[in-house]
Amino acid sequence: MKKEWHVYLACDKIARLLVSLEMNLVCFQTLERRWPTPLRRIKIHPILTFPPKPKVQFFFEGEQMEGAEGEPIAAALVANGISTFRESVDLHRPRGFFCAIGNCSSCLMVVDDVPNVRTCIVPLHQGMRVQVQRDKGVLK
Amino acid sequence: MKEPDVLVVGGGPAGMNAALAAAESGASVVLVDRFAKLGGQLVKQTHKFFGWADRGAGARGIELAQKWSHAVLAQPQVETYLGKEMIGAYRDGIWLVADQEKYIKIKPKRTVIATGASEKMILFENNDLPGVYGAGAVQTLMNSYGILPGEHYLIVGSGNVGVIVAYQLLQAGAVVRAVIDVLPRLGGAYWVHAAKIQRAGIPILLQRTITGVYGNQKVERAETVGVDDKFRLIPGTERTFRVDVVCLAVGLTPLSDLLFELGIQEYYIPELGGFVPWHDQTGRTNRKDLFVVGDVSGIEEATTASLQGRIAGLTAASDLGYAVDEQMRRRLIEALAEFRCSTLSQNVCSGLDRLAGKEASQ
Ligand SMILES: Cc1cc2nc3c(=O)[nH]c(=O)nc-3n(C[C@H](O)[C@H](O)[C@H](O)COP(=O)(O)OP(=O)(O)OC[C@H]3O[C@@H](n4cnc5c(N)ncnc54)[C@H](O)[C@@H]3O)c2cc1C
Ligand code: FES
Repeated sequence: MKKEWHVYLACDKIARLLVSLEMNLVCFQTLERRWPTPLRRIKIHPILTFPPKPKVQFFFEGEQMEGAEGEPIAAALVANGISTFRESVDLHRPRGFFCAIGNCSSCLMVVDDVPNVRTCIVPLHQGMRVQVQRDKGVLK
Repeated sequence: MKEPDVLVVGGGPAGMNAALAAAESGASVVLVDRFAKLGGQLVKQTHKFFGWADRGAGARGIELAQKWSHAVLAQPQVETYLGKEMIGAYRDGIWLVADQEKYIKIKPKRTVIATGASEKMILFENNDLPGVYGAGAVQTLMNSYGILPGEHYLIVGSGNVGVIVAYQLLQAGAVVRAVIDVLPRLGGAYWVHAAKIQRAGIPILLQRTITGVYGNQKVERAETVGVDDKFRLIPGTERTFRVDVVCLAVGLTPLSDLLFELGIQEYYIPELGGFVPWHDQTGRTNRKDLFVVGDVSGIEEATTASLQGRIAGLTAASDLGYAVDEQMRRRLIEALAEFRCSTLSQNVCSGLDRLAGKEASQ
Protein backbone atom coordinates (compact mmCIF):
# COMPACT_ATOMS: atom_id res chain seq x y z
CA MET A 1 0.00 0.00 0.00
CA LYS A 2 2.72 2.44 1.09
CA LYS A 3 4.70 1.83 -2.07
CA GLU A 4 1.74 2.32 -4.35
CA TRP A 5 1.04 5.58 -2.63
CA HIS A 6 4.57 6.83 -3.36
CA VAL A 7 4.31 5.84 -7.00
CA TYR A 8 0.98 7.54 -7.06
CA LEU A 9 2.38 10.72 -5.56
CA ALA A 10 5.17 10.71 -8.12
CA CYS A 11 2.65 10.40 -10.96
CA ASP A 12 0.69 13.13 -9.35
CA LYS A 13 3.73 15.41 -9.27
CA ILE A 14 4.29 14.83 -12.99
CA ALA A 15 0.63 15.47 -13.71
CA ARG A 16 0.84 18.65 -11.68
CA LEU A 17 3.87 19.77 -13.66
CA LEU A 18 2.03 19.15 -16.92
CA VAL A 19 -0.86 21.12 -15.56
CA SER A 20 1.34 24.01 -14.62
CA LEU A 21 2.69 24.03 -18.16
CA GLU A 22 -0.91 24.08 -19.32
CA MET A 23 -0.11 21.00 -21.39
CA ASN A 24 -3.01 18.91 -20.29
CA LEU A 25 -5.27 21.82 -21.04
CA VAL A 26 -4.62 21.04 -24.67
CA CYS A 27 -5.65 17.41 -24.35
CA PHE A 28 -8.47 18.47 -22.11
CA GLN A 29 -9.87 20.75 -24.75
CA THR A 30 -9.58 18.22 -27.53
CA LEU A 31 -11.60 15.82 -25.41
CA GLU A 32 -14.33 18.44 -25.64
CA ARG A 33 -17.21 18.81 -23.32
CA ARG A 34 -18.25 15.25 -22.72
CA TRP A 35 -15.42 13.14 -21.45
CA PRO A 36 -15.51 9.42 -21.92
CA THR A 37 -16.77 7.64 -18.80
CA PRO A 38 -13.46 6.10 -17.64
CA LEU A 39 -11.97 9.51 -16.92
CA ARG A 40 -14.60 10.25 -14.33
CA ARG A 41 -14.55 6.94 -12.49
CA ILE A 42 -11.72 6.68 -9.99
CA LYS A 43 -9.45 3.73 -10.77
CA ILE A 44 -6.61 3.91 -8.28
CA HIS A 45 -7.00 5.12 -4.75
CA PRO A 46 -4.62 4.75 -1.79
CA ILE A 47 -7.39 3.92 0.72
CA LEU A 48 -10.62 3.02 -1.02
CA THR A 49 -11.51 0.29 -3.42
CA PHE A 50 -14.49 0.50 -5.68
CA PRO A 51 -15.53 -3.05 -6.51
CA PRO A 52 -17.27 -3.04 -9.90
CA LYS A 53 -21.05 -2.99 -9.58
CA PRO A 54 -23.46 -4.48 -12.11
CA LYS A 55 -23.83 -2.12 -15.05
CA VAL A 56 -27.21 -0.86 -16.16
CA GLN A 57 -28.38 1.07 -19.20
CA PHE A 58 -30.54 4.17 -18.84
CA PHE A 59 -31.68 7.01 -21.04
CA PHE A 60 -30.85 10.68 -20.61
CA GLU A 61 -32.93 12.86 -22.93
CA GLY A 62 -33.39 9.80 -25.10
CA GLU A 63 -29.69 9.05 -25.33
CA GLN A 64 -28.55 5.69 -23.98
CA MET A 65 -26.00 5.79 -21.19
CA GLU A 66 -24.38 3.41 -18.77
CA GLY A 67 -24.26 3.58 -15.00
CA ALA A 68 -23.86 1.36 -11.95
CA GLU A 69 -26.93 -0.33 -10.49
CA GLY A 70 -28.12 1.41 -7.35
CA GLU A 71 -25.89 4.48 -7.43
CA PRO A 72 -27.81 7.77 -7.31
CA ILE A 73 -29.15 8.79 -10.74
CA ALA A 74 -27.31 12.11 -10.46
CA ALA A 75 -23.99 10.33 -9.79
CA ALA A 76 -24.41 8.27 -12.96
CA LEU A 77 -25.14 11.45 -14.93
CA VAL A 78 -22.04 13.16 -13.56
CA ALA A 79 -19.99 10.09 -14.50
CA ASN A 80 -21.33 10.50 -18.03
CA GLY A 81 -20.26 14.14 -18.12
CA ILE A 82 -23.71 15.64 -17.75
CA SER A 83 -23.76 18.84 -15.76
CA THR A 84 -27.23 20.36 -16.29
CA PHE A 85 -30.04 18.52 -14.52
CA ARG A 86 -32.78 21.11 -14.56
CA GLU A 87 -33.52 24.73 -15.44
CA SER A 88 -34.56 27.40 -13.00
CA VAL A 89 -38.29 28.01 -13.33
CA ASP A 90 -38.33 31.72 -14.26
CA LEU A 91 -35.01 32.55 -15.86
CA HIS A 92 -34.25 29.07 -17.21
CA ARG A 93 -30.71 29.09 -15.92
CA PRO A 94 -28.98 25.70 -15.86
CA ARG A 95 -28.80 23.93 -12.51
CA GLY A 96 -26.68 20.93 -11.58
CA PHE A 97 -25.50 18.82 -8.67
CA PHE A 98 -25.09 20.74 -5.45
CA CYS A 99 -25.68 19.10 -2.07
CA ALA A 100 -25.94 15.31 -2.64
CA ILE A 101 -28.14 14.88 0.44
CA GLY A 102 -31.58 15.66 -0.96
CA ASN A 103 -31.69 19.08 0.58
CA CYS A 104 -31.35 21.81 -2.04
CA SER A 105 -33.62 20.83 -4.99
CA SER A 106 -30.89 21.66 -7.49
CA CYS A 107 -31.07 18.17 -8.98
CA LEU A 108 -34.83 17.82 -9.59
CA MET A 109 -35.47 15.90 -12.82
CA VAL A 110 -38.22 14.07 -14.63
CA VAL A 111 -37.68 10.34 -14.11
CA ASP A 112 -39.96 7.88 -15.90
CA ASP A 113 -42.39 10.77 -16.45
CA VAL A 114 -42.49 11.70 -12.75
CA PRO A 115 -41.28 15.29 -12.17
CA ASN A 116 -39.42 16.68 -9.13
CA VAL A 117 -37.40 13.53 -8.45
CA ARG A 118 -34.35 14.32 -6.31
CA THR A 119 -31.87 12.45 -8.44
CA CYS A 120 -29.05 12.78 -5.90
CA ILE A 121 -30.74 10.36 -3.51
CA VAL A 122 -32.82 8.15 -5.81
CA PRO A 123 -31.04 4.98 -6.96
CA LEU A 124 -30.52 4.20 -10.65
CA HIS A 125 -32.12 1.13 -12.19
CA GLN A 126 -32.09 -0.55 -15.56
CA GLY A 127 -34.03 1.24 -18.28
CA MET A 128 -34.84 4.46 -16.40
CA ARG A 129 -35.77 7.42 -18.59
CA VAL A 130 -34.28 10.60 -17.17
CA GLN A 131 -35.06 14.07 -18.49
CA VAL A 132 -34.03 17.64 -17.75
CA GLN A 133 -36.83 19.38 -15.87
CA ARG A 134 -37.68 22.77 -17.37
CA ASP A 135 -40.71 23.81 -15.32
CA LYS A 136 -42.35 23.20 -11.97
CA GLY A 137 -43.72 19.85 -13.11
CA VAL A 138 -47.38 18.89 -13.15
CA LEU A 139 -49.40 16.32 -11.25
CA LYS A 140 -50.93 13.77 -13.57
CA MET B 1 -49.55 3.06 12.75
CA LYS B 2 -46.26 2.32 14.49
CA GLU B 3 -46.06 3.09 18.19
CA PRO B 4 -42.44 2.64 19.32
CA ASP B 5 -41.07 3.90 22.62
CA VAL B 6 -38.45 5.99 20.88
CA LEU B 7 -38.32 7.41 17.37
CA VAL B 8 -34.89 8.46 16.09
CA VAL B 9 -34.67 10.68 13.00
CA GLY B 10 -31.28 10.51 11.29
CA GLY B 11 -28.79 7.64 11.21
CA GLY B 12 -25.47 9.46 11.60
CA PRO B 13 -23.19 8.92 14.62
CA ALA B 14 -25.63 10.80 16.86
CA GLY B 15 -28.78 8.96 15.75
CA MET B 16 -27.19 5.49 15.68
CA ASN B 17 -25.86 5.90 19.21
CA ALA B 18 -29.19 7.22 20.48
CA ALA B 19 -30.96 4.22 18.98
CA LEU B 20 -28.42 1.79 20.45
CA ALA B 21 -28.50 3.30 23.94
CA ALA B 22 -32.30 3.33 24.08
CA ALA B 23 -32.61 -0.20 22.68
CA GLU B 24 -29.96 -1.63 25.00
CA SER B 25 -31.98 -0.25 27.92
CA GLY B 26 -34.99 -2.18 26.69
CA ALA B 27 -36.93 0.44 24.72
CA SER B 28 -38.38 -0.32 21.30
CA VAL B 29 -36.90 1.99 18.67
CA VAL B 30 -37.70 3.08 15.12
CA LEU B 31 -34.77 4.69 13.30
CA VAL B 32 -35.48 6.62 10.08
CA ASP B 33 -32.92 7.91 7.58
CA ARG B 34 -33.61 9.35 4.14
CA PHE B 35 -30.41 7.88 2.78
CA ALA B 36 -30.19 4.25 1.69
CA LYS B 37 -27.35 3.54 4.12
CA LEU B 38 -26.68 4.25 7.80
CA GLY B 39 -23.71 6.39 8.82
CA GLY B 40 -24.56 9.99 7.94
CA GLN B 41 -21.50 12.11 7.26
CA LEU B 42 -19.21 9.31 8.38
CA VAL B 43 -19.69 7.16 5.29
CA LYS B 44 -17.47 9.47 3.26
CA GLN B 45 -14.79 10.33 5.82
CA THR B 46 -11.78 8.33 4.70
CA HIS B 47 -9.29 10.16 6.91
CA LYS B 48 -8.29 9.10 10.40
CA PHE B 49 -10.45 10.90 12.91
CA PHE B 50 -9.23 13.25 15.53
CA GLY B 51 -10.58 13.25 19.00
CA TRP B 52 -10.67 10.77 21.78
CA ALA B 53 -8.97 7.40 21.41
CA ASP B 54 -11.60 5.39 23.29
CA ARG B 55 -14.33 7.22 21.37
CA GLY B 56 -13.15 6.23 17.95
CA ALA B 57 -10.40 8.74 17.21
CA GLY B 58 -7.63 7.24 15.12
CA ALA B 59 -10.18 5.15 13.27
CA ARG B 60 -11.43 6.33 9.89
CA GLY B 61 -14.96 7.68 9.70
CA ILE B 62 -15.98 4.89 7.33
CA GLU B 63 -14.83 2.29 9.86
CA LEU B 64 -16.81 3.91 12.66
CA ALA B 65 -19.89 4.06 10.43
CA GLN B 66 -19.55 0.36 9.72
CA LYS B 67 -19.08 -0.57 13.36
CA TRP B 68 -22.13 1.32 14.57
CA SER B 69 -24.37 0.43 11.67
CA HIS B 70 -23.64 -3.29 12.15
CA ALA B 71 -24.56 -2.91 15.80
CA VAL B 72 -27.80 -1.10 14.93
CA LEU B 73 -28.83 -3.63 12.30
CA ALA B 74 -28.04 -6.51 14.66
CA GLN B 75 -30.12 -5.00 17.48
CA PRO B 76 -33.54 -6.70 17.44
CA GLN B 77 -35.14 -3.82 19.37
CA VAL B 78 -34.39 -1.36 16.56
CA GLU B 79 -36.49 -1.25 13.43
CA THR B 80 -34.63 0.65 10.72
CA TYR B 81 -36.33 2.54 7.88
CA LEU B 82 -33.79 3.47 5.25
CA GLY B 83 -34.35 5.56 2.13
CA LYS B 84 -37.38 7.12 3.80
CA GLU B 85 -37.69 10.72 4.81
CA MET B 86 -39.26 12.28 7.85
CA ILE B 87 -41.31 15.16 6.51
CA GLY B 88 -43.07 16.50 9.57
CA ALA B 89 -45.39 15.90 12.48
CA TYR B 90 -48.92 16.70 13.52
CA ARG B 91 -49.62 18.60 16.71
CA ASP B 92 -50.88 15.41 18.36
CA GLY B 93 -47.45 13.84 18.07
CA ILE B 94 -47.91 11.68 14.98
CA TRP B 95 -44.88 11.78 12.69
CA LEU B 96 -45.05 11.27 8.94
CA VAL B 97 -42.43 9.35 7.01
CA ALA B 98 -42.53 9.60 3.22
CA ASP B 99 -41.99 6.26 1.53
CA GLN B 100 -42.23 6.56 -2.26
CA GLU B 101 -45.96 6.92 -2.88
CA LYS B 102 -47.24 6.44 0.64
CA TYR B 103 -46.79 7.78 4.15
CA ILE B 104 -45.91 5.79 7.23
CA LYS B 105 -47.37 7.15 10.48
CA ILE B 106 -45.41 6.88 13.69
CA LYS B 107 -46.59 7.78 17.17
CA PRO B 108 -43.59 7.52 19.51
CA LYS B 109 -43.42 8.25 23.21
CA ARG B 110 -40.08 10.01 22.86
CA THR B 111 -38.36 11.44 19.76
CA VAL B 112 -34.68 12.06 19.14
CA ILE B 113 -33.86 14.38 16.23
CA ALA B 114 -30.40 13.76 14.77
CA THR B 115 -30.71 15.17 11.26
CA GLY B 116 -27.19 16.63 11.11
CA ALA B 117 -26.32 19.73 9.12
CA SER B 118 -26.45 21.28 5.68
CA GLU B 119 -23.83 23.30 3.90
CA LYS B 120 -23.85 27.07 3.83
CA MET B 121 -23.91 29.07 0.61
CA ILE B 122 -22.13 32.34 -0.13
CA LEU B 123 -22.83 35.11 -2.61
CA PHE B 124 -20.86 35.55 -5.82
CA GLU B 125 -21.77 36.02 -9.45
CA ASN B 126 -23.37 32.94 -11.08
CA ASN B 127 -23.18 30.90 -7.89
CA ASP B 128 -25.99 28.72 -9.26
CA LEU B 129 -23.97 27.57 -12.28
CA PRO B 130 -23.46 23.79 -12.55
CA GLY B 131 -19.96 23.08 -11.27
CA VAL B 132 -20.45 24.94 -8.00
CA TYR B 133 -20.71 22.13 -5.45
CA GLY B 134 -21.03 21.87 -1.74
CA ALA B 135 -17.74 20.32 -0.60
CA GLY B 136 -19.67 17.51 1.06
CA ALA B 137 -21.31 16.64 -2.25
CA VAL B 138 -17.94 16.28 -3.98
CA GLN B 139 -16.82 14.13 -1.09
CA THR B 140 -19.88 11.91 -1.43
CA LEU B 141 -19.37 11.50 -5.16
CA MET B 142 -15.71 10.59 -4.93
CA ASN B 143 -15.59 8.58 -1.69
CA SER B 144 -18.92 6.79 -1.80
CA TYR B 145 -19.37 6.29 -5.54
CA GLY B 146 -15.86 6.63 -6.93
CA ILE B 147 -16.79 9.46 -9.27
CA LEU B 148 -14.91 12.71 -9.83
CA PRO B 149 -17.18 15.50 -11.02
CA GLY B 150 -14.34 17.38 -12.73
CA GLU B 151 -10.64 17.65 -13.21
CA HIS B 152 -9.56 20.96 -11.73
CA TYR B 153 -10.84 22.20 -8.42
CA LEU B 154 -10.89 25.40 -6.43
CA ILE B 155 -11.81 25.09 -2.77
CA VAL B 156 -13.42 28.00 -0.97
CA GLY B 157 -12.91 27.79 2.79
CA SER B 158 -9.88 26.53 4.71
CA GLY B 159 -11.73 24.97 7.63
CA ASN B 160 -11.58 21.31 8.42
CA VAL B 161 -13.95 20.36 5.64
CA GLY B 162 -12.22 22.37 2.90
CA VAL B 163 -8.75 21.14 3.74
CA ILE B 164 -9.78 17.51 4.15
CA VAL B 165 -11.71 17.53 0.88
CA ALA B 166 -8.65 19.01 -0.85
CA TYR B 167 -6.53 16.19 0.54
CA GLN B 168 -9.05 13.53 -0.47
CA LEU B 169 -9.33 15.00 -3.98
CA LEU B 170 -5.59 14.64 -4.27
CA GLN B 171 -5.84 11.00 -3.23
CA ALA B 172 -8.53 10.45 -5.84
CA GLY B 173 -6.27 11.82 -8.55
CA ALA B 174 -7.79 15.25 -9.11
CA VAL B 175 -5.94 18.53 -9.47
CA VAL B 176 -6.66 21.09 -6.77
CA ARG B 177 -5.57 24.54 -7.94
CA ALA B 178 -5.88 26.23 -4.56
CA VAL B 179 -7.70 26.50 -1.28
CA ILE B 180 -8.76 30.09 -0.58
CA ASP B 181 -10.07 31.70 2.59
CA VAL B 182 -11.22 35.21 3.30
CA LEU B 183 -9.73 35.16 6.81
CA PRO B 184 -6.09 35.98 7.50
CA ARG B 185 -5.52 32.60 9.16
CA LEU B 186 -6.45 28.97 8.60
CA GLY B 187 -10.11 28.43 9.35
CA GLY B 188 -9.76 25.84 12.09
CA ALA B 189 -8.39 23.06 9.91
CA TYR B 190 -6.31 20.46 11.65
CA TRP B 191 -2.76 21.50 11.16
CA VAL B 192 -1.60 18.07 9.93
CA HIS B 193 -3.99 18.05 7.01
CA ALA B 194 -3.14 21.62 6.05
CA ALA B 195 0.55 20.74 6.10
CA LYS B 196 -0.09 17.65 3.98
CA ILE B 197 -1.82 19.50 1.18
CA GLN B 198 0.76 22.25 1.17
CA ARG B 199 3.54 19.67 0.89
CA ALA B 200 1.68 18.22 -2.07
CA GLY B 201 1.83 21.61 -3.74
CA ILE B 202 -1.65 22.97 -3.16
CA PRO B 203 -1.41 26.63 -2.15
CA ILE B 204 -3.61 27.85 0.69
CA LEU B 205 -4.31 31.47 -0.18
CA LEU B 206 -5.54 33.49 2.78
CA GLN B 207 -7.34 36.85 2.63
CA ARG B 208 -8.80 36.00 -0.77
CA THR B 209 -12.39 35.56 -1.82
CA ILE B 210 -14.33 34.35 -4.84
CA THR B 211 -16.19 36.99 -6.86
CA GLY B 212 -17.74 34.91 -9.61
CA VAL B 213 -17.70 31.84 -11.81
CA TYR B 214 -18.08 31.93 -15.56
CA GLY B 215 -18.50 29.52 -18.43
CA ASN B 216 -20.85 28.18 -21.05
CA GLN B 217 -23.64 26.35 -19.14
CA LYS B 218 -21.11 25.23 -16.51
CA VAL B 219 -18.11 26.47 -14.57
CA GLU B 220 -15.02 26.98 -16.71
CA ARG B 221 -13.20 29.55 -14.62
CA ALA B 222 -13.41 31.20 -11.22
CA GLU B 223 -12.42 34.77 -10.42
CA THR B 224 -10.92 35.59 -7.04
CA VAL B 225 -9.63 38.75 -5.42
CA GLY B 226 -7.58 39.61 -2.35
CA VAL B 227 -9.20 41.34 0.62
CA ASP B 228 -7.80 43.55 3.38
CA ASP B 229 -8.31 43.31 7.13
CA LYS B 230 -11.73 44.92 6.84
CA PHE B 231 -12.77 42.48 4.08
CA ARG B 232 -12.62 45.20 1.39
CA LEU B 233 -11.62 43.94 -2.04
CA ILE B 234 -8.14 45.04 -3.09
CA PRO B 235 -8.10 46.12 -6.76
CA GLY B 236 -5.20 44.74 -8.75
CA THR B 237 -5.08 41.46 -6.81
CA GLU B 238 -7.56 39.61 -9.04
CA ARG B 239 -6.59 36.09 -9.96
CA THR B 240 -8.32 33.71 -12.35
CA PHE B 241 -8.39 29.96 -11.80
CA ARG B 242 -9.17 27.64 -14.69
CA VAL B 243 -11.31 25.10 -12.87
CA ASP B 244 -14.41 23.10 -13.67
CA VAL B 245 -15.47 22.57 -10.07
CA VAL B 246 -15.68 25.04 -7.21
CA CYS B 247 -16.18 23.37 -3.81
CA LEU B 248 -17.84 25.52 -1.19
CA ALA B 249 -16.65 24.66 2.30
CA VAL B 250 -17.83 27.75 4.09
CA GLY B 251 -19.40 26.12 7.08
CA LEU B 252 -22.39 24.08 8.10
CA THR B 253 -25.70 25.03 9.60
CA PRO B 254 -28.04 22.79 11.64
CA LEU B 255 -30.66 21.00 9.54
CA SER B 256 -33.44 22.04 11.86
CA ASP B 257 -36.45 22.47 9.53
CA LEU B 258 -38.39 19.80 11.40
CA LEU B 259 -37.77 21.54 14.71
CA PHE B 260 -38.76 24.89 13.26
CA GLU B 261 -42.04 23.42 12.04
CA LEU B 262 -42.75 22.09 15.52
CA GLY B 263 -42.11 25.45 17.10
CA ILE B 264 -39.11 24.33 19.14
CA GLN B 265 -37.33 27.26 20.80
CA GLU B 266 -34.28 28.27 18.73
CA TYR B 267 -31.55 30.83 19.29
CA TYR B 268 -29.17 32.41 16.82
CA ILE B 269 -25.65 31.47 17.86
CA PRO B 270 -23.17 31.92 14.99
CA GLU B 271 -20.46 29.91 16.78
CA LEU B 272 -22.71 26.85 16.59
CA GLY B 273 -23.66 27.36 12.94
CA GLY B 274 -26.73 29.62 13.05
CA PHE B 275 -30.14 28.93 14.54
CA VAL B 276 -29.81 26.16 17.11
CA PRO B 277 -32.51 24.53 19.21
CA TRP B 278 -32.39 25.22 22.92
CA HIS B 279 -31.59 22.02 24.83
CA ASP B 280 -30.30 20.93 28.22
CA GLN B 281 -27.27 18.71 28.84
CA THR B 282 -29.25 15.58 28.00
CA GLY B 283 -30.39 17.07 24.67
CA ARG B 284 -33.95 17.68 25.83
CA THR B 285 -35.64 20.67 24.15
CA ASN B 286 -38.43 22.86 25.50
CA ARG B 287 -40.79 20.07 24.43
CA LYS B 288 -40.30 17.43 27.08
CA ASP B 289 -40.67 14.47 24.74
CA LEU B 290 -38.23 15.76 22.13
CA PHE B 291 -34.42 15.56 22.15
CA VAL B 292 -31.83 16.97 19.76
CA VAL B 293 -28.37 15.43 19.32
CA GLY B 294 -25.37 15.82 17.02
CA ASP B 295 -24.84 18.56 14.45
CA VAL B 296 -28.51 19.58 14.43
CA SER B 297 -28.10 20.74 18.03
CA GLY B 298 -25.06 22.87 17.12
CA ILE B 299 -22.17 22.11 14.75
CA GLU B 300 -19.47 20.13 16.52
CA GLU B 301 -17.99 16.79 15.50
CA ALA B 302 -18.48 13.04 15.52
CA THR B 303 -17.22 12.24 19.01
CA THR B 304 -19.52 14.72 20.68
CA ALA B 305 -22.36 13.65 18.38
CA SER B 306 -22.02 10.02 19.47
CA LEU B 307 -21.80 10.95 23.17
CA GLN B 308 -24.84 13.21 22.89
CA GLY B 309 -26.71 10.40 21.16
CA ARG B 310 -25.90 7.93 23.94
CA ILE B 311 -26.97 10.37 26.64
CA ALA B 312 -30.28 11.24 24.97
CA GLY B 313 -31.01 7.57 24.24
CA LEU B 314 -30.49 6.63 27.90
CA THR B 315 -32.49 9.61 29.13
CA ALA B 316 -35.41 8.84 26.84
CA ALA B 317 -35.44 5.21 28.02
CA SER B 318 -35.24 6.26 31.66
CA ASP B 319 -38.18 8.68 31.12
CA LEU B 320 -40.25 5.70 30.08
CA GLY B 321 -39.38 3.70 33.15
CA TYR B 322 -36.71 1.39 31.74
CA ALA B 323 -33.89 0.56 34.12
CA VAL B 324 -30.94 2.67 33.04
CA ASP B 325 -27.44 2.64 34.46
CA GLU B 326 -27.57 6.06 36.12
CA GLN B 327 -23.88 6.10 36.87
CA MET B 328 -23.06 5.44 33.26
CA ARG B 329 -25.34 8.24 32.15
CA ARG B 330 -23.69 10.68 34.54
CA ARG B 331 -20.24 9.55 33.41
CA LEU B 332 -21.20 10.18 29.79
CA ILE B 333 -22.43 13.68 30.61
CA GLU B 334 -19.17 14.44 32.40
CA ALA B 335 -17.16 12.95 29.57
CA LEU B 336 -18.97 15.14 27.05
CA ALA B 337 -18.22 18.30 29.02
CA GLU B 338 -14.60 17.30 29.51
CA PHE B 339 -14.09 16.38 25.87
CA ARG B 340 -15.64 19.60 24.63
CA CYS B 341 -13.38 21.80 26.70
CA SER B 342 -10.22 19.94 25.84
CA THR B 343 -10.56 19.67 22.07
CA LEU B 344 -13.18 21.93 20.58
CA SER B 345 -12.26 25.39 19.50
CA GLN B 346 -12.72 28.21 21.96
CA ASN B 347 -15.41 29.49 19.64
CA VAL B 348 -17.66 26.45 19.96
CA CYS B 349 -17.22 26.38 23.73
CA SER B 350 -18.29 29.98 24.12
CA GLY B 351 -21.28 29.32 21.81
CA LEU B 352 -22.32 26.41 24.02
CA ASP B 353 -21.98 28.60 27.09
CA ARG B 354 -24.19 31.24 25.51
CA LEU B 355 -26.84 28.65 24.66
CA ALA B 356 -26.72 27.27 28.21
CA GLY B 357 -27.36 30.79 29.52
CA LYS B 358 -30.60 31.07 27.53
CA GLU B 359 -34.00 30.24 28.86
CA ALA B 360 -36.24 27.46 27.67
CA SER B 361 -39.64 28.93 27.00
CA GLN B 362 -42.42 26.62 28.00
C1 LIG C 1 -15.20 16.82 5.49
C2 LIG C 1 -15.56 16.51 6.92
C3 LIG C 1 -14.58 16.07 7.79
C4 LIG C 1 -14.89 15.77 9.12
N1 LIG C 1 -13.88 15.33 9.94
C5 LIG C 1 -14.14 14.99 11.23
C6 LIG C 1 -13.09 14.48 12.10
O1 LIG C 1 -11.93 14.33 11.71
N2 LIG C 1 -13.43 14.15 13.37
C7 LIG C 1 -14.71 14.29 13.84
O2 LIG C 1 -14.97 13.95 14.98
N3 LIG C 1 -15.71 14.77 13.04
C8 LIG C 1 -15.46 15.13 11.75
N4 LIG C 1 -16.46 15.63 10.94
C9 LIG C 1 -17.79 15.92 11.51
C10 LIG C 1 -18.68 14.76 11.68
O3 LIG C 1 -18.74 13.99 10.48
C11 LIG C 1 -20.08 15.28 12.01
O4 LIG C 1 -20.02 16.19 13.06
C12 LIG C 1 -20.99 14.15 12.43
O5 LIG C 1 -21.15 13.24 11.37
C13 LIG C 1 -22.35 14.68 12.87
O6 LIG C 1 -23.19 13.60 13.19
P1 LIG C 1 -24.74 13.65 13.16
O7 LIG C 1 -25.20 12.29 13.51
O8 LIG C 1 -25.20 14.80 13.96
O9 LIG C 1 -25.17 14.04 11.67
P2 LIG C 1 -24.92 13.33 10.26
O10 LIG C 1 -23.74 12.46 10.28
O11 LIG C 1 -24.96 14.44 9.28
O12 LIG C 1 -26.23 12.42 10.05
C14 LIG C 1 -27.51 12.96 9.85
C15 LIG C 1 -28.39 11.93 9.18
O13 LIG C 1 -29.75 12.36 9.19
C16 LIG C 1 -30.39 12.04 7.98
N5 LIG C 1 -31.53 12.94 7.80
C17 LIG C 1 -31.51 14.30 7.73
N6 LIG C 1 -32.76 14.78 7.59
C18 LIG C 1 -33.60 13.71 7.57
C19 LIG C 1 -35.03 13.56 7.47
N7 LIG C 1 -35.85 14.61 7.36
N8 LIG C 1 -35.55 12.31 7.48
C20 LIG C 1 -34.74 11.23 7.59
N9 LIG C 1 -33.40 11.32 7.71
C21 LIG C 1 -32.83 12.54 7.70
C22 LIG C 1 -29.30 12.20 6.96
O14 LIG C 1 -29.56 11.42 5.81
C23 LIG C 1 -28.05 11.70 7.72
O15 LIG C 1 -27.81 10.33 7.51
C24 LIG C 1 -16.21 15.93 9.60
C25 LIG C 1 -17.21 16.39 8.72
C26 LIG C 1 -16.91 16.67 7.40
C27 LIG C 1 -18.02 17.15 6.47
S1 FES D 1 -28.27 17.96 -5.13
FE1 FES D 1 -29.34 18.96 -3.54
S2 FES D 1 -31.26 17.95 -3.54
FE2 FES D 1 -30.09 16.80 -4.92
